[in-house]
Amino acid sequence: MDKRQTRAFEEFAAESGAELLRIATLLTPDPHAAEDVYQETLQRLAARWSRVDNPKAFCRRVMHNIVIDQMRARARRPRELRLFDTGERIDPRSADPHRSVELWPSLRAALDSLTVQQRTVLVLRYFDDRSEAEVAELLGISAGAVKSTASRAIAHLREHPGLAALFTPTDSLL
Amino acid sequence: MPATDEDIVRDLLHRYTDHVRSPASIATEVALRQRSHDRRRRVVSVAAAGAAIGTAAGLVAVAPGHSSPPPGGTRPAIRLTADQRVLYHLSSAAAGQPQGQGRYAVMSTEGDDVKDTSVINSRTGSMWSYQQGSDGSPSGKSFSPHYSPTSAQFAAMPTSPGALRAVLIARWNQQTRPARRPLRPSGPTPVPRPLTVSDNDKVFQQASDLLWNPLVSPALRAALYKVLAAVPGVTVTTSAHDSIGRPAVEISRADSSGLPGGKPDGVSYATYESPATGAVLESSVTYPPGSDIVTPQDPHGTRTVVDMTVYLTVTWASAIPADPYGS
Repeated sequence: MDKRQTRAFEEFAAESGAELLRIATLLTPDPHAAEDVYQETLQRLAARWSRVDNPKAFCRRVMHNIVIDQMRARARRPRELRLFDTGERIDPRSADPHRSVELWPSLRAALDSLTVQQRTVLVLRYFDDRSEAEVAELLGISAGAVKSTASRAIAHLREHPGLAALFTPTDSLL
Repeated sequence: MPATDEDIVRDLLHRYTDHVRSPASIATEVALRQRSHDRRRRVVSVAAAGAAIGTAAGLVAVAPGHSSPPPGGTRPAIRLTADQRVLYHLSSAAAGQPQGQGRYAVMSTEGDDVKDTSVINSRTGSMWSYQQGSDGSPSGKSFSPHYSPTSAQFAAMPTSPGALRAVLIARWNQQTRPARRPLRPSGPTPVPRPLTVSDNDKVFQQASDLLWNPLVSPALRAALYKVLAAVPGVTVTTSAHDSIGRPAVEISRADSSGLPGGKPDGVSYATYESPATGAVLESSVTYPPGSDIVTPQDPHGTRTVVDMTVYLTVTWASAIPADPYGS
């Protein structure tokens, strides 16, 4: 990687880094792990920078592969105790940023309770705004499986104590 | 306000990560590490380091009558010299070794007081490196896709010395083409000019760069020793030891590449081989004082080893082993 390539690489990271790190944050169980995933992804990109046509697509694919590998490795180890599960019943539809901060533990716990595939599908479909076909291709599963997985994942979130109010119909709050 | 469950999830995921900012330092650090990695690979692998950094070297003194390869390139002498006999012995020892079985070659090494464990995928050539922390530095790991030729690519290389010599020269030419750009265009080093690199330089550098690789088959390793036997300027020391005291055969050669008309700089490439198996125990690149790579402030003595790797173990595995250092 020469100076010109280094500059282009850093420009790419400046432009797309936040979005990639946000995806990593949603995919991994804690912020430190997310930063590790992001860093490993950039490392892999740097190693083949001159040969990658679409760096952002490459990073997304690599990031998901890393997370899935980590999840599999973690599944072979004893399960760690969850530190929080607040079950707060607040109105999370508030646009108040402080409200969204209060939501973090609940959403984190809810995301942690999903399977790797459910979580990945949710992030790809509803954060990355990819079509079912694109998600299917990326994960190597059928479009039907993407649809059913997303549906089950959302149903799971609806049932989570900390998020249930979020999905409650508006008229029932009145 | 979100209406459907999908919209609610979408909104939630975005709000949840609104605060996330990517530290620029991560990308900078990654880029620096990659550049350092690239530079090190060049120094170790080929004379590209000399070409890129602009070190000067002249023609090495070779045995009279051997200043150019004989017609046919690598035809061994009818009467082998003592050094050539040692190299042919190593060739036989290497040929008798079993081919490694398993998808991954796991190689532990040590250099600059740092221990590494490298895992090379024999099918893709990709390499995982786990590095043990030292002096308070944390352990680390890296992934280098397509770092090495694959086992299949090695198996496709010729094992007749003449044909292999031609392949090594072609490989050097291919590898050094992009690396001729200067890595440090400003600073105290002189502006590099095109180097004259003899075919014998290329062959020695390439052969010594391949010998350590665990994916190299016994037949190819045996052929590489025969190729080295026909390279002028090769010095063989049978009573050597590597850095950790293992008995070894030292094969070294002062590189003759350099600026046109320049005097030899004495950059020396050396590998230490196990006399019993032909396996590489250690490799090093040594620069003498006065070389452009050795700065006046360099604290080392009369000679500076700029890169040394001690090969400790090679095993084979069917799956990627866990990080032995827990990084």
